[in-house]
Amino acid sequence: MRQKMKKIPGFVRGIIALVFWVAVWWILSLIVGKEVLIPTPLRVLKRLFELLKTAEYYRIVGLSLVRITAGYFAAVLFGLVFGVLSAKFEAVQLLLSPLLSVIRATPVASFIILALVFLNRQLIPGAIAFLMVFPVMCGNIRTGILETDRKLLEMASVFRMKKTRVLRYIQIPAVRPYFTAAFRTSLGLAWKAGVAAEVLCNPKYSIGRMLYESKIYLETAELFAWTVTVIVMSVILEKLLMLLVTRLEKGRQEEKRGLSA
Amino acid sequence: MIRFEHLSKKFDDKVLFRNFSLELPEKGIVCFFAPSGFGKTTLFRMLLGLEEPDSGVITGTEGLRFSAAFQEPRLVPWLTALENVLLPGSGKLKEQAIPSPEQKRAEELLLALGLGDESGRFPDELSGGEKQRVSLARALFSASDVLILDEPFTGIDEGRKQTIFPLLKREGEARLILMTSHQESDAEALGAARINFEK
Repeated sequence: MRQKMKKIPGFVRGIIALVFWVAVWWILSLIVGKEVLIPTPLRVLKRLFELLKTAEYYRIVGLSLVRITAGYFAAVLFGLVFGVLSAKFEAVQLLLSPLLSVIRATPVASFIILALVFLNRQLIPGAIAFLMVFPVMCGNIRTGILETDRKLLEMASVFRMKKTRVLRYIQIPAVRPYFTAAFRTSLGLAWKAGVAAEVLCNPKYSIGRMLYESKIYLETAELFAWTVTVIVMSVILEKLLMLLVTRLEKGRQEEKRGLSA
Repeated sequence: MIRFEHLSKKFDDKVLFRNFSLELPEKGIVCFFAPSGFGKTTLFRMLLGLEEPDSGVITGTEGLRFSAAFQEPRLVPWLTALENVLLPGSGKLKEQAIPSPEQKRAEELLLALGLGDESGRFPDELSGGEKQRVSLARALFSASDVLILDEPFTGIDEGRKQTIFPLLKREGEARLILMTSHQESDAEALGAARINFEK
């Protein structure tokens, strides 16, 4: 049985699993029998297609995307800078580490409510995404730098290699896997926390607001449709990022392997 | 001329050197013999400025350029053999279609060390002895006045050594080569000056 399953291509297996769970959902909704509680997949799909036909849908998704990814990329940038500084200067690490611990331990909801007091609601989702990603990026960059093989750096110092050369050929490649790991894993985190922030702070034209409103008006099918949107966007973003990362890494690897051929 | 003057060094409670003095020639090959754990590597590390003596001084190193093949190869894992050799230089690492003088020299060294076909391979695709030879090629490639070779022949078979010796001999005419080895025959074949440490 196990062997038979292995012969089926990965994407077909994925589709089988998806069909199975959609069927479970369908059966559940039929058993419950109330569209307000669990709408059927067909009903949700219909609502989603209705939404897809409106210009507003794209405006909402686009603006949510801009808000959250702006915070995400700002966090990547700042995380990089402070990760480097905290690895190079113990004083920076000393000051930064309690702050990062507090950010990590605080529930997202607390930050969102707190941000409502200080920030324009349009800025909050980005700020929350920033708070989710910054500690991860900062920590990974610091670890990457500190984990760089001391023996290679010692070798470079014996050969009196130029700093720029050490950076380019030893330090940056050593940190790269730590960077890409943080880059990749924190995007989903940022996206979900950003949408949660939108639900609580209700900025105009946002997925979060739509989720909130559909709950208020008991438009459960619409709530599901927007949730599907969040999931699909999350997958698309992840895939795009993966493509970018693997393209960067693969390009390098192939270029190298080509030499040995 | 490099001079070790009254060097003392200990690690924890273990005394490696006490009032150690030595004068080295400007050129040629000098081979150090000592039981393991005697501190030959530490002596090299002090010479390279990677370790400070507890007392005493090392003079005559001002302005000298050093290169070294360490006991372990210390190759950069994401660079090919050729790129690792080119690393201490100043030119591009990427293999050029029309080789630069630097690349030519690096390729010649790899060829002389029996690694002509391995230049495009990554360290994880090389055997222990091959890595050691890439490390040796890198040390030879780097323009230096003093070349330090710490157990350079570990994992290298006798036949291969015979092809490396003439290369080292030639290099020894232009600069000072300090090396350690366990085999007297290596020093003999290289016509090296021998320094025996006694406990």
